[in-house]
Amino acid sequence: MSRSDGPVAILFKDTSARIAAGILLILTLVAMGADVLPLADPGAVDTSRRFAAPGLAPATMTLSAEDAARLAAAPGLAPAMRRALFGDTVIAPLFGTDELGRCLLSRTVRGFRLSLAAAAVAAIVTLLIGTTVGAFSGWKAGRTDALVMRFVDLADSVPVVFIVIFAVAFLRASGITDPSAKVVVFFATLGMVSWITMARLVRASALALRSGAFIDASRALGMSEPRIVFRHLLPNLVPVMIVALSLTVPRILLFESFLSFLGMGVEAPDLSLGTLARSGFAAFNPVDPRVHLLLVPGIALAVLLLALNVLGDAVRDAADPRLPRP
Amino acid sequence: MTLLSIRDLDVRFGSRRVVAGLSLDVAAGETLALMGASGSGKTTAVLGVLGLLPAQATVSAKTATFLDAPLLESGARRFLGRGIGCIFQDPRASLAPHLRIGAQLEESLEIAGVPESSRRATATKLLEDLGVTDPARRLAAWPHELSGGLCQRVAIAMALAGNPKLLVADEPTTALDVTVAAQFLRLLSNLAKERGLSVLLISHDLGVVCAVADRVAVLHEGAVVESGPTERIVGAPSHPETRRLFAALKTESAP
Repeated sequence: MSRSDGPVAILFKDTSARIAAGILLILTLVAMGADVLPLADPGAVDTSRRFAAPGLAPATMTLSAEDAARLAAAPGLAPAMRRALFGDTVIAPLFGTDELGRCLLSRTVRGFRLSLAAAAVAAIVTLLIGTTVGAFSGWKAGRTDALVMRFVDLADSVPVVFIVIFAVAFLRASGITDPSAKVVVFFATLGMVSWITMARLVRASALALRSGAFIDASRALGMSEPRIVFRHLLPNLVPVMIVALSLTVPRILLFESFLSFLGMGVEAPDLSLGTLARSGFAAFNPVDPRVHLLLVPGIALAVLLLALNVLGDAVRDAADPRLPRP
Repeated sequence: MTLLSIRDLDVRFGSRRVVAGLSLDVAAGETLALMGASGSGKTTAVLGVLGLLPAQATVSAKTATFLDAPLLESGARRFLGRGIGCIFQDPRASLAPHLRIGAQLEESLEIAGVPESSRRATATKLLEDLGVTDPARRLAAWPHELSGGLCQRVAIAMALAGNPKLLVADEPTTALDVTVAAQFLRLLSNLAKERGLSVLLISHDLGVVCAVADRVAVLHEGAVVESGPTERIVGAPSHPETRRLFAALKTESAP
């Protein structure tokens, strides 16, 4: 099997990887541009249309006078762009509405934004801390490794949920009501739990690689230690890093919903896929199931996880030159 | 002229003495085979002199010099990839799996101080000199796509990138099949002749040693027990350990 293309070319020859990357790109753009898109105010209550079912007609509506006035008064670039592009037009609640008649499409987009941010923070923290700690520990081996890994064990044994409870209680007791402080605590907690799997997997892999014949050979060829670490060790850790990421990111997305469910993560009026699923669960009853409230955030989460996993798998395969190519 | 000179080399792992008072000389242009049973300390001695053992090993010697410059206490580092080239047992495993052959060869040339503009051409020339057909295609290949024999040639090309005076070859034919190994040995002795290269060959294969070595040094329990011209040592070994080793090797290779 001959393979003349580089990893990037291989990745983009893979149809499923292209689709997954496209989905992720669209979702990210929609989440980031939520303020520009003609979406209904996620908090706008309309009791005349409680629990409306999803439907495609009508696709667009006109903003109510009250909402139009609020949009006109909103400061900043994004609302101005929205006014210029879409005027008073607004997308109808295609995904239905919730118990207060709020547009589920708009709410899902906002919830998506926070979930994506949580996943991105987790991925960055995991890559930075997890890879550094794991690669350092595995490469140094011996006593340094033992010491670092005991520290990782210690970090792993911290009961994260209790720490969050303490932190949230502390914030409340000290009278800090600034929502951004809560978000910082929330993300710091996600960071704390996210890097440990990465550190362990990378360390195991680095430990195996450091005694590999090609590392010995590169030393015998006169390569300096930084060169060996950055040009020979780290590139060979990329596959295991991607595996660790595709284990961590879904876990963090679920952990976010869990914390929000306990009331320690995202709180109203902020939205995440976790809080949306929770309110869908609360509205569920056997007589009138209103399943769309549960299905919409659930499917959104599933699509996100599936796209992340498909892309992660494809990147891992593309990064490994030893795999045979069709 | 003596290229490599070692007197009373000791290598210890904690209280265990693996190499005990080893002395040897490699003259310019000669091929010296270091023989010995498994565990006799052949590889450990050579890696110790070159500073390639893990940190827990303590290496000491009365003198250990290459071209009259001291090798111990990380002195060997400036010769690796330049004056001294190394090839190892498993050629495929000793190539980096994530880099194309061309990138690896060019990296060796970079370490040897070859300017970037001429690296590709030098790499092609090196492979051609080693009898590799279609070098352009090989340079674009990944290590796992090449045969063992080709990988060993690439490994030699990388070792030769720094124009070394001494080539250290640690059991270079063990992972190759018989015909490929024979080709490889012819290549090795041609290289030694053409380039005036000294070779320190670590081997426990009598056939390999007889084919290429000018002199043989036999190791037992970390020290040289007997050394001399290949014909004399192989034809009429005088030390009992040498006789025992050769007897064992002959029964091993018998069908």
